[in-house]
Amino acid sequence: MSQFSTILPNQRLIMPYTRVKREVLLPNNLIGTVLVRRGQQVDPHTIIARGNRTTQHHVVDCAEELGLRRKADLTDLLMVKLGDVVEKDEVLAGQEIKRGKRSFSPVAGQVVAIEDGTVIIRQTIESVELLAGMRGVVTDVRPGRGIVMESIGALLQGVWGNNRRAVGSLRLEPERGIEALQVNTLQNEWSGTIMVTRRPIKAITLLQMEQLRIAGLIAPSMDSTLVEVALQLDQPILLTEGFGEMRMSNVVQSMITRFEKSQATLDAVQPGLMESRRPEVLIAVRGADRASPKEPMASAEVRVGAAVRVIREPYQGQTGKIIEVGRNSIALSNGLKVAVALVELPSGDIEPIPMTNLEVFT
Amino acid sequence: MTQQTSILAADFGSIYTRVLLIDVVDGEYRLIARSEVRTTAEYPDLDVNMGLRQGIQNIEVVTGRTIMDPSGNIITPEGENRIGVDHFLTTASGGEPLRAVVVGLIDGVSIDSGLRATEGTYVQVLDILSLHDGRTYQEKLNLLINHKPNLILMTGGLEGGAKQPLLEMIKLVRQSLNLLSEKERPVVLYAGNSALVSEVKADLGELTTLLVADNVRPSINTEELDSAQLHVAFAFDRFKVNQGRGYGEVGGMSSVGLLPTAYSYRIVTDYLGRSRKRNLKNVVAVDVGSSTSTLASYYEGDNRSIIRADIGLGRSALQIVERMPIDSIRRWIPFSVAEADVRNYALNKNLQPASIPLSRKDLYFEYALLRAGIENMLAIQRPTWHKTPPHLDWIIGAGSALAGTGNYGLSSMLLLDAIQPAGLSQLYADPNGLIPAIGALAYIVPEAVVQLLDGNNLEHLGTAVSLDKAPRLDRKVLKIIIQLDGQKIIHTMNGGELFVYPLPPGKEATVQAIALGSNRIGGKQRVKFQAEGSLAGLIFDTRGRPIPLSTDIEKRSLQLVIWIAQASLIEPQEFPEYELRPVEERNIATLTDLRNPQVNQPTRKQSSGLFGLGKRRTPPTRDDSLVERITTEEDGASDDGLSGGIFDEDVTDADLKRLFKE
Repeated sequence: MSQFSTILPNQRLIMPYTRVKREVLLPNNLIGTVLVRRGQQVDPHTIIARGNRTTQHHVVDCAEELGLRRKADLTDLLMVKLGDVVEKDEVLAGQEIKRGKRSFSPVAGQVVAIEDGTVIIRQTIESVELLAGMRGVVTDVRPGRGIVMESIGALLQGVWGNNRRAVGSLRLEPERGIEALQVNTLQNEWSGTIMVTRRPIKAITLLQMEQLRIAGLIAPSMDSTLVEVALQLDQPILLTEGFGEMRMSNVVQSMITRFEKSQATLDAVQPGLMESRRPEVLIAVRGADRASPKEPMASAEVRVGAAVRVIREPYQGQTGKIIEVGRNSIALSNGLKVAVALVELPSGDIEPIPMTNLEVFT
Repeated sequence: MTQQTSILAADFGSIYTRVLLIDVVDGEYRLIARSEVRTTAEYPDLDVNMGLRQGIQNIEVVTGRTIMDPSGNIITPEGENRIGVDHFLTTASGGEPLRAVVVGLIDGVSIDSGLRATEGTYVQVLDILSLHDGRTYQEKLNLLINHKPNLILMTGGLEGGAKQPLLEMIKLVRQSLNLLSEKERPVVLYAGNSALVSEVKADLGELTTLLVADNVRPSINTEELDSAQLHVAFAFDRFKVNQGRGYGEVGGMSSVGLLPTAYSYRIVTDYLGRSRKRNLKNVVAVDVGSSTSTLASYYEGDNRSIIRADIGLGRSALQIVERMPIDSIRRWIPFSVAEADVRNYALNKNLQPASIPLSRKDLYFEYALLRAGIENMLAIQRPTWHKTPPHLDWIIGAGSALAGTGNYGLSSMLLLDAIQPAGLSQLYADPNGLIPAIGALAYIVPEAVVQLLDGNNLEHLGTAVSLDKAPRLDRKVLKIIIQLDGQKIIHTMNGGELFVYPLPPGKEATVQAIALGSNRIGGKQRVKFQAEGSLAGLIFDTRGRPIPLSTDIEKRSLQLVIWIAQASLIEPQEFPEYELRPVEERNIATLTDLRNPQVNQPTRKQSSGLFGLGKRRTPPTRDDSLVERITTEEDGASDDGLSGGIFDEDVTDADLKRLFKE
């Protein structure tokens, strides 16, 4: 038997100037109205769609409540019709609207079904507004769901987010860390900024983020014990490396330093099986309108000379360059036998790293 | 002589797409070439076709055949000069499972049969609604609407039985469909009393896609699952096709649509169990993938399978930690570790599901999750087996973690650890992903199934001889006599050991294993057999059943390190003493803790407090001068400023109590 394996590598986009196309859609369970049109310029705070979140359906057995022998008799006693909006305690059926045996709506909502002696009310629904989140042009409209838009800027993708989104100025934490900042509600220069910390997030970091009203946080890593809290906070949190205590890779750090104080959109998407997006930061670049950059490549290759980042211990977070791509598997010291690439690390050492443990930078 | 039919089969897992070319050689079906590429369903490609084409191109390169036209379409049927293939078959296990609600009349009867009908496909059962389940009509209606299932499986009513109760449930389903928008409506599969089929068609047929299968429970003592299982597989095909990401195009090219990979494992265990040629009584196949896992077994005539969308070593790694007792994982780790660290590992695997453990510690984390996951599936299957520990003639492992270690001894040990058979077992691996293809082939070229399974296309890892029960560690418990090439090798083992004797493929040996004292090998004192050579060779396991893992970390560390060295033939590397010292558990923080640190909330785990404080007696508040002192000290300790921050171990309890003092 002949065998041939090709490893399409893990890929992460870290690009100082690029064109990005993004779908901005209402949550999966919502269908609403799109408020912008194709070709329209939008800014981060433009409301692009509104949708409604359904809550509960209430089944009111009017025939039973009115003591009807035949369910069909309800038709003559109904005070509402299909599609009517009703208030809580509004009369649904009865001989007279103000007295006698009557059937009332238990909630405010809409009549969505009348059948078999019952009236079904869909409880009043919660309205959801969808913001563009970044400056750009609407290139396509997904009816009822949202838009596709295009923007230009610097792009930095992370590995995990808490499913929140914010816009703000990108700021590096002071040398002593976010934890050392004084909470001063009158002169809070950090309020509304997207802060970048080079240290793993601690509980106290999150507390500071709330108290200083920081709009969002970018950090290398976080302990698993803080995940639930992070998911409940209103501010977006993006991890660039992973969980545990990890360092921020040099490439990520230098990119952020370069764009300090620039306007950024932090879209801290939470990775999931069916989630096609990645957590990322899109940073506005001065003079971006003049040149027209290309879109990032969809797929990169593991090839000699490619810049890579190691995603697993013991070289986790280190960047390097591929100097040889092995076709055959080799035995590792832990007993596994896998396909590796030889990677030159910043120390100058050349190490065999499983190809699946490498991430190619684009 | 078999008629010439060439087959290209592709299996789409969450991480890997495996493409196989199967053709007739010397009158028999054989695996000709195999290619493995990353599945491209996820970012950045979002289209499985991309990986598929790469995989087919690889096959074209190694075989010199042309399979695709210049536009990337698969050429079928095969033409002159071996251009194209006769059949293209696809199976899939990756991606989201089919979300289903089972609706029926009575728990334990038709509902149980309905649940078993979902066992062959990637189905996540969201809820079960029965006539008298204690919920009101309104609650059931809201559940059906708010779960937003992809499939409603309706069961209930014996043939010739009462109709009225089932009509109530049909009304419930109809109302839920009416209240959902057209796009949101699930497929309905009716597998209940056939007397109501016309009512079901009239009520539901115009609202959604309606599938009708034979009644899964025609009488109280009979169960008919085949028709319903096929329809669930069809619903899975529709679901995947509608899911986007190129599955629709791929399913359209396939001769059989897009079949669930797991169904293949059931077909294979069934074939092997029934095969008179092999005379096997009991067979188990286990596939641990990134997001889903399957365990199929044929045990004394009973063929069953379990599919779990919450067990996997990539996308589902965190769910193993969340759903299983932490000590069922930690007992396989030879160093002290906090639950939060196991969760960190699982979360990182979730983010990088294809990555491979490179460090020693990561290797143990990985395989601890693997063993715990399989053990959990076995806990469901085992009660239906008559013997504990089970006597299993064949054990087949699939999925990268089991079949892709590249170390056959290690793969063998992992199978033995997780399944813990007793007696004589043949261990196999399916690194090529042949089983998924075989399942799909069964529909169109049944003779190929027989020939591929009989033709040594699976990897024979080894022959295992395992003692039953718990032998004493300080006593000689097993005597082995191996006759090979005119030589006699005699080896005696103490309890608690693994011994691998390399007997390479192509060699044969006569093996006698004699259990000493009161020990037994699958209930026998002595077994004698003709052993065929295999990749790892002969594996003798005197650890006992269940494997007696010590609760003492020092002893357990030694056990696990030695066993892995004995099985994989690498140098044992012990963990230093400091790695075995007890570690402090860290709490799962809550938002209340964060916002009101003065409130001493009870926590879910051991309570050392959100900031490692333990129980605080006085309501704490911030003292920023102390924060500054602590961070300054930390900054001084780290010159690059990258690692660090306020680490728990840098700060004493006294410091933190001052930090939050009134």
